[in-house]
Amino acid sequence: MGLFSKETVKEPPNRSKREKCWESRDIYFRCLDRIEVENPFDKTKQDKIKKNCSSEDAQFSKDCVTSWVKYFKEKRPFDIKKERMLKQAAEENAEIIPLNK
Amino acid sequence: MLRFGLSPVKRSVLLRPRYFSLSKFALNDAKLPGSEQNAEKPKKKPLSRLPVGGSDYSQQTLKRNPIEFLTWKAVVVFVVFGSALTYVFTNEKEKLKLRREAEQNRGVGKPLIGGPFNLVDTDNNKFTQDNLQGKFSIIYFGFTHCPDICPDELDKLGLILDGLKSKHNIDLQPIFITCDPARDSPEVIKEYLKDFHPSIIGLTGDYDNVKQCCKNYRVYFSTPRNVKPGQDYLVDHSIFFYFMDPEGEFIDVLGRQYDADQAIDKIKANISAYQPRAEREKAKQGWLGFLYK
Repeated sequence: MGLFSKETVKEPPNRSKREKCWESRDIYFRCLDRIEVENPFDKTKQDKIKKNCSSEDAQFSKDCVTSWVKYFKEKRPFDIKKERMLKQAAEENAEIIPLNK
Repeated sequence: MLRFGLSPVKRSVLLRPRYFSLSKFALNDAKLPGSEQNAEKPKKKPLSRLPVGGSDYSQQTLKRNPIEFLTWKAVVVFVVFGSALTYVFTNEKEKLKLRREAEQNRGVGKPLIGGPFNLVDTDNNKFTQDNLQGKFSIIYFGFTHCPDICPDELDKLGLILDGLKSKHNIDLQPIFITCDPARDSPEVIKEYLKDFHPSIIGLTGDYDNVKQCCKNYRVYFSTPRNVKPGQDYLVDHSIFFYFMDPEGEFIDVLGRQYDADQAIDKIKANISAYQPRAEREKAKQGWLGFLYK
């Protein structure tokens, strides 16, 4: 439904639209945090997501264009992983070497 | 005065201060050419280390102190000159390093990054590599439908531009080039850039021109050729600021790891170290040329 009925995107989102989208995204992700789902595309957790976060998901999809929704959802597991790695590195007092000068 | 100092009689005077009054006689007797004149007014003796004007010369001896000359003035002069020299040399060394780096980035012959392009700005005026002449430019590749990184980076660009202006009074020419020519018409970019720093110049062009430009700048370009109007997709692209010199040549990239302040410092350092091509060539030919190799 949402995928195809969505009006075509000609105009790029402006600043206020972007911020609204990011806000809805954060609300949705916080909901996923609550039910401990990392990857929103995880097949085994679809029921759980639907049950607990469907309204947040709907709002997220409404405020952001479809490609962004997909992008942010795909990005989430990587961001979590990255954060975890950095945290672990900090705990072990590892030195972070910047890759490019 | 020099003649005076060289005469053997005078030397003995210096070595035996107690016989000063005697030596005065000797001087008069010797009658060296020109000594008459000097003997008449022996008040100023710049090369003598004897204190002048004391009542009893026999009491006064030369100090045997090894740090005799270590007066506070000497210390001040030493510290001032020392720090000035250290400052100058570290500064020059840093500049030389940046120049060498920039030179490596420029490459030999054909530039590694950068080169000719043929695009249009948001008012449909032609914009080519010639527009890079005469000012330092900073180029960013992006697209208007970019979800999160480009807007962040463009906001950062605004901070960089304002910081350079207020801190160092430097004006850059900021350029935004789209990698999504299918959707980003000049009008769309114009509207999009209203959210950002007013001096940013937005560029687009037809598919091939944009693709060529991205290729020259080594920007990964993934926009499909035939997209239907209104289609919703994202574009992968590299996220660097390209810093170009006033001759349109590439100097350096600034990645996402720099925050605005670090970027400002880096740009400032590069601008201070910058030498135009002719000057660079000359420096390379000169006797200090080995420093650039």
